[in-house]
Amino acid sequence: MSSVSVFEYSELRIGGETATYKMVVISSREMRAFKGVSTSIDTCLGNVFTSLEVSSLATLKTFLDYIASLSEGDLRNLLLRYADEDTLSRFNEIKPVDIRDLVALLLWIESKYGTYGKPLLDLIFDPETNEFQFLNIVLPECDWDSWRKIVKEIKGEMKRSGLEEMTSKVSIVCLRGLLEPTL
Amino acid sequence: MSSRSSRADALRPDYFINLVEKLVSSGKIRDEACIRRFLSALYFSLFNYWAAIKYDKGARRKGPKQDRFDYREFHEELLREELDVELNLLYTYRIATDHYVLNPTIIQIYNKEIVRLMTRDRLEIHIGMNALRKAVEAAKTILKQIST
Repeated sequence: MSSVSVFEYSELRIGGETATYKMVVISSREMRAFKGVSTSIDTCLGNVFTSLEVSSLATLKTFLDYIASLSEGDLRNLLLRYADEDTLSRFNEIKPVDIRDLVALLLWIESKYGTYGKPLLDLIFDPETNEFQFLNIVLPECDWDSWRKIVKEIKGEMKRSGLEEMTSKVSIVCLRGLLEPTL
Repeated sequence: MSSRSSRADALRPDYFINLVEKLVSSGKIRDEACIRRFLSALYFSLFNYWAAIKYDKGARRKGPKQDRFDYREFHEELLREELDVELNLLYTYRIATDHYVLNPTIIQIYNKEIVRLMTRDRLEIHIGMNALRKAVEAAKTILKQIST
């Protein structure tokens, strides 16, 4: 399971003004952690005034709200959890969807469907025209019987969260449902 | 055969899909070449029909007669209708059957982690009767959606 925690830290600066920093910590089920600081200042946490952990019951909208404060660099690092450098490079050339929406979607899918393995991102190009077709979000351990139900749930949540347009650019793939093992 | 005014009527694939279904259930499809051609044709029968519906409704795209539509637009409409299962099944197997010689095979995937998982678990595209049966069901679901 992944979780997102948000920490806010305020400090009083010389001159009386207060600087507030927000840190979003995203933990994956493999216990690796990503830390994205919303400012360019590399700060360490002093007094933590608020902390909030997002459970696996959190909505996609919750993830979208937290992701909103992350920098481009943070988003790139987060996307590398789900795609390798080559895939990310191709994504950046085409930019079929907003990277912020995509990262939030991947985090939400990982939090809700973690039992099917970490979702992985791929880009589909037509072999004849070489034109980009759509993004695949692949759930490695998901089989044929679960596939339709998961698609309905994910696309329904996308529509409820304001990502209706994105539903036409993203395809959900249950890898074990699509492919058969070699016997 | 068909009137100029309705390309959709001429390209409606109900009969073709039913024909493939009957051949599958009768056990008369015996070789891989036939399975490959039917898998590919199921996809293209739906793509043609979808494009014909668009054309009849006044959509114009590429080509001298503006009657060449892109796969991407077709795929986007299916994904919007949550037909991810059906699209992936038909499109993946159509690519494998038309462009790859080995069976089972693995088509081009950019994310190396997915390739690693497939290799580890020996997950491959098997071009056979089971795939064709699933493709017929997927084609019927897509046809129902694009006919409405």
